[in-house]
Amino acid sequence: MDPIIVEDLSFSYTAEQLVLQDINFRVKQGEWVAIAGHNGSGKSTLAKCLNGLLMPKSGEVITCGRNTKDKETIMDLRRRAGMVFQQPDNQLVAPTVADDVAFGLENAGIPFKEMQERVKESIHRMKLDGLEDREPHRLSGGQKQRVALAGITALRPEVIILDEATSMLDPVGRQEVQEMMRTLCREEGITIVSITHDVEEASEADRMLVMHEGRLLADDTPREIFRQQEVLVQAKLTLPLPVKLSRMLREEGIRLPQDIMSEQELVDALCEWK
Amino acid sequence: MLKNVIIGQYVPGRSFVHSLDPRSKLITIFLFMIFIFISRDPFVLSSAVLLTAAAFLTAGIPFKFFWKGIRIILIIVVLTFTLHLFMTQEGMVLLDLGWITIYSGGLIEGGLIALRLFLLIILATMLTLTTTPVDLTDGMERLMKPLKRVKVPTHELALMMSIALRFIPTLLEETQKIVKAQTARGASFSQGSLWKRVNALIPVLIPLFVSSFKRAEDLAIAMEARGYAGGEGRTKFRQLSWRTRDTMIVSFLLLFGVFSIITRIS
Repeated sequence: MDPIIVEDLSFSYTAEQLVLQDINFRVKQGEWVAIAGHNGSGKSTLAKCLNGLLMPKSGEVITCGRNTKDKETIMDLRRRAGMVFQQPDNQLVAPTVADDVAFGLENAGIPFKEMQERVKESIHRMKLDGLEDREPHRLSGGQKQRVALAGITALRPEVIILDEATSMLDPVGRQEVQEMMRTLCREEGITIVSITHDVEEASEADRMLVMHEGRLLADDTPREIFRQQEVLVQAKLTLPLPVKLSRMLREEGIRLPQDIMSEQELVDALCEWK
Repeated sequence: MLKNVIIGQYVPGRSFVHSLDPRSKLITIFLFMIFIFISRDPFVLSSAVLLTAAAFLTAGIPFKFFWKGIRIILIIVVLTFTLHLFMTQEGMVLLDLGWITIYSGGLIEGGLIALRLFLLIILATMLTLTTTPVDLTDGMERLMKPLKRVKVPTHELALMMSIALRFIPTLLEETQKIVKAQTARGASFSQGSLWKRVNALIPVLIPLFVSSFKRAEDLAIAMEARGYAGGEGRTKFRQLSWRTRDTMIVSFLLLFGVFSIITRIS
């Protein structure tokens, strides 16, 4: 069964305006899905619907086999589908790194012995060794987001939802977090849903959902979406620099392969170009 | 001035005092307070002074640092002493200046209360200097646990305290940012009358207040997303270990207490 199933989802904060309208999609096990869109497109609201922080007005959201409307299984659902938020400062609860990583485990009632092992393992996995007793305010933005990720991976989730988790970070912090996402998805098979307005980050995903004014505008591979000029214009998304550059070069008559997606591909193509 | 207040600052160390369980430290200090406040016996009090001195020496806190930190608080001690000195009218007259009379009772009472306060301040400061705030919160939570039966929300209180500890530095940072932003727009915090300076703080406090509420909301959502559902069925990551030395120090204090009560009665 697919870990995330969204059927005819609509949502509104107030009676007048629907923030989300008739959204349908599924996410497969181990897939990396990017949800892109401009500010106010409803992408963060959609993320909060996925783990039951917001309830659908109509339609269903079934995450990890559990309907978000079911109050009995909601805690279990949230343990299986962890979430990293945008503001690194406002999601760390405990006074030290180790305590914060343990927070979710404490909530789940994991016995002390196992908790100790899992905390250690998670801290190591997120490359935070040696920072166990550090206070959150003495960490860099990238480190804070990795602590948040560690707190989630300690619960051994099936799905991790990142709600613009890299948008407030500097380039170094962004790379740190993206590297962790790569490891978690590609090596450990955890399903990743990343909400972002950074198209470069989205270009790495297996699939890209484009949101516009509360509706799902496109659902395809990033490669395919980058070809659809009208979708990009409507959703106010700009192409990643390597994609844009290779296109401009092609228009100038330089014969590069189609669909260059990353800087590395562009560099390789240019080196082979005669 | 604030940077000289050392209550609440933890000084890392490996001394005997550091290694005690926060619970035993809290119990010990609590018992000690009670005993020195009921006792008037010079022998009990002087042994209390010796005990405090011994605790201070074993804790290995640099004396200069300590002295600088408690200097300001000692004003309270001096003030209380002076008040008692002039207000008590017992015993024989030591000094009569017409408008003011000092009695021997005042000298004794003043000295006694000053000594008690002095010891209290030293011990309270030492407690926070040798125990991390996290351990202290934890210790208090466990000691308050029996109160849960009478519906005191001990888990919530402890969580509030630990979140406060977590966010104090963050909020301080934010305050500095706002102060800088307001200074850049021409606000002045160090000039003008006291009234003007107090007024200048309003444009700092309001944004701070607003953003704190935003933070609180974000944090609540994050906690919910991480499966927080109250203290019920929760396990603890932090374990406190009560060792022989803790039992020893608490029983020693109890003995000291019995001793001080006996001297008070007889």
